[in-house]
Amino acid sequence: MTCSQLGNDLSAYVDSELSAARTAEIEAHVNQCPLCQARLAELRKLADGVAALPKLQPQPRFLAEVKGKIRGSAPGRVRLVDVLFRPYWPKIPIEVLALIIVLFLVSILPLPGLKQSARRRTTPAEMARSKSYEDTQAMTPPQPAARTTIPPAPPAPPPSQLVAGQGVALGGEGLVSESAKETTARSFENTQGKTADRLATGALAGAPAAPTAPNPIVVSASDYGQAKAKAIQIAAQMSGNVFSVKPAEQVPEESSRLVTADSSMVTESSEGGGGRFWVDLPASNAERFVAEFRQAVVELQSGSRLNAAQRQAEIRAVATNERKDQASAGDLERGVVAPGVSSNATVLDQLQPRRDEKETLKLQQEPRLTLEINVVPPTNAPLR
Amino acid sequence: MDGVTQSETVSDRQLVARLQAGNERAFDELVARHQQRALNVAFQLLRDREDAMEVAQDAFVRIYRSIGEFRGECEFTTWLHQIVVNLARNRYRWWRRRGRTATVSIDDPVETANGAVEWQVEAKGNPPDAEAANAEFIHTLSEKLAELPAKFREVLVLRNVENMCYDEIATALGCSVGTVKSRIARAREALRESMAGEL
Repeated sequence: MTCSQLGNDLSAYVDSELSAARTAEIEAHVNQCPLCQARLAELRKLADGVAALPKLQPQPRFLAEVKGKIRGSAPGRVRLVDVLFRPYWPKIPIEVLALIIVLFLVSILPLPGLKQSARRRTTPAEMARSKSYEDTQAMTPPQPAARTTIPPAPPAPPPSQLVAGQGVALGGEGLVSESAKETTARSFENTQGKTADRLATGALAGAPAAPTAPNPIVVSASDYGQAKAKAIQIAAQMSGNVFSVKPAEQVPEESSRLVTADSSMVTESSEGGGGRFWVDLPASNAERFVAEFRQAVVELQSGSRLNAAQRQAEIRAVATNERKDQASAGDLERGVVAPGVSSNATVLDQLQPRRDEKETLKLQQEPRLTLEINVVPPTNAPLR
Repeated sequence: MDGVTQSETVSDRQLVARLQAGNERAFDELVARHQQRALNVAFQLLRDREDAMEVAQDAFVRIYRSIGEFRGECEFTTWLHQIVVNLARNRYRWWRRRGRTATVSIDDPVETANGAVEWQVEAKGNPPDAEAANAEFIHTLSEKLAELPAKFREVLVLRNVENMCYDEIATALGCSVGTVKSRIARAREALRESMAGEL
């Protein structure tokens, strides 16, 4: 046997874990090998040294603490600070990182209290709208004309376009419907921002020229007066008011930049047989107003000579964020326009029916929409 | 005559059977009989007094809670060692994840923060001169043992501190006897190399 053939058996020999035969072989080799004798002595010394390592005496309270753990009430063993912060690595870095993330999210999320102020910082138009809203919220003296309008309608398109339903800015259905839906679907606050943006960017101001109206409302010259009276009647049923003057003077100072110079005062005119008036009503009623007004005009014209002096009622929607909470419900019921209306503005009619006060107040809180009804010069186009 | 001595006449198996029958005093007796064994194994493996105390106590808690599962297929002490080693492994794995190694020397003062003597190193029965002669060797050996891989420390402690046979060690560690034999031999060789100047 050689030294290398001992393998792990010399260690096992120290522990007396070998068979009698293997033990005899190991002893025979070790007796004649000085190197293995020295190695065996070292292994024994190491084994004895490990066995001689100092030992600990258990504490007298060992059993009591074991029983305390069994009952789950080992006092002072699990502390909140240990659970939260120990081990320091990686708990502390992770917790600091989590705190930073939470603070960042809180700073960017549109929390209710921060939303409006955040919006105010975005664009000047939103700032103007927000201020208007805040003014109304603060119950400032009645300002019923705090509304924004759009520039006057461009010249009427060619008759062929009217008939064909192409390149015409009319048809209020599409436009009004879209605006009304947008206005009513969103919160008042959103409406503020969106509408102001659209006005600022000319989205609504440019609407009359947009070739999007397939179904114009046409009013003959002789029927114009009756059509307008119908409009007054229908609007009154919907908490709306009809103005013969574009309500531009009421635009707050900070929003006046949205009004073009030529929109300051547009009076009702009859030059060329045309005319124009404005309907201001809750946005949720705008679509219904257009439908009913269209129906009324159709009924009016059913017995008229349409080919003599055709008039086209062009309806454009001007979304406003005005809330008519300046005017009291009583004023509305009495058909009195709240003070503050420009002296140049003429209220044609205030056929405000009596309503339940709560319903009236609810309507007052709604976003408003101003419809511009234009009667354009006559055309020779065939009418439907 | 204390209770432990009186209880020596009762085997561990009998105490386990009584505990399984609901006799709480049998558990007290088992703890009293084997607490030092559990504590020393944990301490030699972890080299940390507080952790050794925690592990030894937790081992008895586990025994109490799972005594119904003990079928007597091995000695109670083997089962106890198995639990202690597993808990110690969890503990030094926990250390390793945090970059910590054994931090306490057995020569450190055994005092708590308030100065009370919390632990007592058992005095060996050797003469003072023999203690002095071996003091440096034991100290170095302790440090070198702590530097060994855990699997080597485990087999050496169970073999030489607890004087367990290879079969019992294999059962406690869940490995074969051949593996135990190999690990012990390799551990001693590693220790012999690192202690070359001391032997």
